[in-house]
Amino acid sequence: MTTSSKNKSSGLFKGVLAAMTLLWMTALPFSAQAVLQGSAGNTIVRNTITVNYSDARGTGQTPVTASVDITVNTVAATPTILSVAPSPGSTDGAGATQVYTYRIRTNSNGPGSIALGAADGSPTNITVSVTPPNVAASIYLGSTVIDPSEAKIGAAQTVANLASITFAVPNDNHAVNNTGAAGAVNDLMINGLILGDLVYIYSGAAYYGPFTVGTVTDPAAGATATAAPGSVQLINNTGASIGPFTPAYGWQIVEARDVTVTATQGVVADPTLDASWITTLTATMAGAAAANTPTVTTNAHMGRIAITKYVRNVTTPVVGGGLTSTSPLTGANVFYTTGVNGKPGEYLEYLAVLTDTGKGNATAVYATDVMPTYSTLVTFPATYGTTPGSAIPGIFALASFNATTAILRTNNTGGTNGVAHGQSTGITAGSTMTFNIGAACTNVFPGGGGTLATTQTAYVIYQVKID
Amino acid sequence: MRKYVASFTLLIAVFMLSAAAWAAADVEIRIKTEKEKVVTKDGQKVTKMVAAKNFTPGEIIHYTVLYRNKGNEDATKAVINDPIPRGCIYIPGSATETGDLTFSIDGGKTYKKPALLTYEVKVTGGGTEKRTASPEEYTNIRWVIDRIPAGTNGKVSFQVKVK
Repeated sequence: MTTSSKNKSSGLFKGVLAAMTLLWMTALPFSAQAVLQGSAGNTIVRNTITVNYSDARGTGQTPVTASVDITVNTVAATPTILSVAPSPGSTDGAGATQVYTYRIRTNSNGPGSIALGAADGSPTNITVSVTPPNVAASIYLGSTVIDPSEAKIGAAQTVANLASITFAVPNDNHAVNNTGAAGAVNDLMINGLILGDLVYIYSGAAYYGPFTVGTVTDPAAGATATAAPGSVQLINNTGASIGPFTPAYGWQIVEARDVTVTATQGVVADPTLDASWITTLTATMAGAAAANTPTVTTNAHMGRIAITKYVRNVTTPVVGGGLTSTSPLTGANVFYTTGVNGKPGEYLEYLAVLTDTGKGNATAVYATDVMPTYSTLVTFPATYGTTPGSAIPGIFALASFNATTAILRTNNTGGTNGVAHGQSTGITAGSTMTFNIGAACTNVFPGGGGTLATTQTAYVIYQVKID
Repeated sequence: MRKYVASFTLLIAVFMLSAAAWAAADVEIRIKTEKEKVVTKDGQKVTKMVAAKNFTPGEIIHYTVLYRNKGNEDATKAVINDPIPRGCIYIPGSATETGDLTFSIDGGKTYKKPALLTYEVKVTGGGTEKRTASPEEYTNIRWVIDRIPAGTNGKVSFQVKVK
């Protein structure tokens, strides 16, 4: 006798049954989320069948059993990018770097590798850097679910700060360790999760966490009616309690990891205008329908120093031409860019005005000036200080920055940190004067240049006697 | 002559007793797992069953329980008990109507026909309400087969969906 012959049904009945089944499956609320909620990848689904029977005289015989295992596949899913900080970033100067931190969380039902990539694009008033954004090539994230054997299922849970909660999770058949290589029995890893991992519990509607993975057990599957589950201890290190939540079978325990993307700035075309570019991170789990491609905009602010040099005749004031300027160092005296003249023996006073006309900081600012021909640098001019002193080394220049005046001596013994320092190779025509100017400047030549923020101005004056 | 007859009778009796001792029912079972696979044959897409050990959540596992009485005596009152595997949901109507087919929603303590599988729930405002169990609440399937004749085989099957 072949008992299966009794199962033959009419085609009409089968059609109706199939339609009803389809309708029922469609109506299931979890069907749309089947990839996300339910069985973990690598889970052993064990079916153990028992047959009890008697002989012809009704005497009971020894029952027979048979088992079969099937393994649940890991389903790739588009990962979630939880956050990027800071956003948007800001930087200054060509070649400057900006570091962004992303938290990437897997949505898969099992462990898997997530490939990462990053690219710069959409530049505005800037060239795309020849140095591409730097990010790890891939990360391997674990994932499992709460096992149906878990006793806490259906009971509300709240995990206090520094407390922990442990869940039974399906046996992973030791398919992988935490890097994707083959696992082993009792290797303290289960479905890619290991001590110290950052994980969230996902109900299908809400996330709880993050938790830090504590102890992991990974027993042999055994030969019992169901494969022996493992367990994962979750520790709350967030500083606040997590919950309440009521765990259910199939809730996911998914790993998240922070990765950094370092973007490098290209060259700003016009420092007087705003500049920006967009960095796109790509996170892909092989086989997933789509990649997650968050973007972040970096605003670049670059400084640009404009310098204008003026002069006036100290001995015999002359009305010159071109641009005019006064300075905080010399009161109402007016300087000109053209048309100033003088006779031998008269004194001329030069004014250099440095302004940051860019959108960002100008750093390492220093200026050099070569003594004009047919002239001699004046040291210790009476107007540059009321303190009498030796003319050698004498005061040869004054500088003003941020409403503070610095007195500069030819041998670099004057000056004020954060305002200006100066020195001169001599006092005769052709001698070179050097000035470090701006915030954080020092008396180190070379290398002690300071910083001018956007729109900030610094002034330097010195006098010469016409030979 | 009477001595020979007595000996022959005793021999026959011993033979018959031995034959009775050797007669036994001996049931063995094995399980087959399959899934549907769409293949192209002669330009047409057709669905066929293929053996499978790996399933993706949402897929249907087709279980077939093959039994055989390899003994020389009929097996009677054979009860095939199959817990719905953990992590799976029974597909309604998929179990073969072999023998007496019943289901359990209490882990195998009690079995009933689907229409009789009910339980009570408390409702708002007090009181209880009787509800019919849905297939996802089934925990066990049971077939009771009155007789499996010696030397015959048969099979029962059902389907579950992997959560």
